[in-house]
Amino acid sequence: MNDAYTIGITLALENGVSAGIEEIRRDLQELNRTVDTSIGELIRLDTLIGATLRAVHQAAHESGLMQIAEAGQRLTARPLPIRVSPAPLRQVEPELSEQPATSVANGMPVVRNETTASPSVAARGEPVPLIMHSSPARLTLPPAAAPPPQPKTSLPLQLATSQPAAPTAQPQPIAPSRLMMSVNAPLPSKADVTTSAGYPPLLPIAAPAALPNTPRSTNTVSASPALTTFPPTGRTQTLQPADLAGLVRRLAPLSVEAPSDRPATPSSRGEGRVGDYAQSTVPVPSIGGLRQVEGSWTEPPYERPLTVAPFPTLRTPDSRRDLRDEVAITNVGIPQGPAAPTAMSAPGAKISMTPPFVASSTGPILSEQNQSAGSETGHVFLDGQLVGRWMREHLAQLAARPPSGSTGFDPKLSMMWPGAPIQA
Amino acid sequence: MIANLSEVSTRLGRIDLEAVHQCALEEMAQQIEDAVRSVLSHPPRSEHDVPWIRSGGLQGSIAHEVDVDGARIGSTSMVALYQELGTRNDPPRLFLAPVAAALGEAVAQAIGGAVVDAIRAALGGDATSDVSK
Repeated sequence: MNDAYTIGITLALENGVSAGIEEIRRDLQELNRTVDTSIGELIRLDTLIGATLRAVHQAAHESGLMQIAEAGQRLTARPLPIRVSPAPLRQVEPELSEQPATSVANGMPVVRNETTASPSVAARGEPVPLIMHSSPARLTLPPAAAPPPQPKTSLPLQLATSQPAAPTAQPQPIAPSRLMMSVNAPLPSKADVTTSAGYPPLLPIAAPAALPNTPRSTNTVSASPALTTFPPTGRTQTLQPADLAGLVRRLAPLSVEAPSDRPATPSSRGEGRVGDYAQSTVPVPSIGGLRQVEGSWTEPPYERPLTVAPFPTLRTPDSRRDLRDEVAITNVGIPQGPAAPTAMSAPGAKISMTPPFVASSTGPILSEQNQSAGSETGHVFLDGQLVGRWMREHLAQLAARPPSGSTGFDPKLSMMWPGAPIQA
Repeated sequence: MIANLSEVSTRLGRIDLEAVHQCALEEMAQQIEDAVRSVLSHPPRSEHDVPWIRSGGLQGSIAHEVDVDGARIGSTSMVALYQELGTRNDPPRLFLAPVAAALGEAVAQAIGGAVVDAIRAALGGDATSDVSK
């Protein structure tokens, strides 16, 4: 550098590029050596793998695996169609079948007439026992050629009594709910007997023949064997008290018209026996309570008797407590287990019952019965009048209490303003 | 096109960075010298923040020299020293420092760009691309 300059500008170059380039060169050379080594290893592995593959191929060819592999590849390239055999058709019951009936002669479907009903069994003169018999009932179904049941135009099932009906009798389309009552069997059915007027019965139309053999619930009135026995003849019957013992025993909470004369005592586990009913707390309804009308059953409408506990006249401190107790237990309706709405055991059968509550006159005692019968539900009705009285008493007591706390502001305790006379 | 890493390393080793640096410094020093000469070209009775040109001796004394580690642009005249630093009677009239401050960044970028162009040329890339990127 020339030092002759008295003054000047110096451009000093700090060369870091050369060092960087040199470092890069060293890394590249090392990487190159590593790559060369790796390439050599790969070449050696390739040689070994080639030898192994050749040995394996030779062994596979000798053992016949090559042919299997080639066959698998061909199958993969062209998959065979899979054929699934159809499932066997299920044999359908004739009463449940909705397919068109086929004529035996030519095998052609028979044209149905939807407006005409098939003749009943009774019309054909075939003796068929009544379904409500205690003996195993049998449901006679129309043959396969008969038209299937049509909704609201023809009867789903035809029931007939053992007594043949008149040959000229023609089935009339009726409502399904009153089917068994008005067609060929004017006798009261189980559903009609156990159903109040406000709940039209729903008969077990689907499979009535299974009723006698089906296990029945103890809560169902129709489960009583004595109830299901009706004479097959006669259009008007007289129900005997012995036959209706089970019915009365279970219908007592539903329609109470004639209270029992004798005092009620807790009943043991009686199931539809007269003796058990005599010891029961449920009042005995009269036979007239179940009025049998020609062709149908009617019962008086259900009315819950109004029961109001007397208001305590003695106004003592304990009177309010007694009043609360009375309010708590007064007019208690207890659901009756046997009369509770339950489904019949027959498949597809439904039955409607009367309101599951009973008058409060026998409430506490009936509660014990329900406990013995396994009932776990209950309803408590509070009389609004009694509650209002209790509220009035309570508010009056609160209003009569002496007032507590400050009633006003005393100005003497406030601060004195400047110049105010100080009183001794 | 680079064939392998060995060729890359070889090409990188062929780069003569000293020559590249010296060439770039020479070019930049010449630019600075020209800028200083242009500053010393103000006639008398003009703005006197910079020295006036009277005989052209100061302007003619500006020169530069370049070596491997850097470059130096200066004057061998004592008048340059007096004008740049000032005396007891004359205030300093800067003509070197403003030029160095104005061209310092451009000189650095130019030298770096020259190195990048050299590396690209060595590796087979386009040496004519913009070095500022």
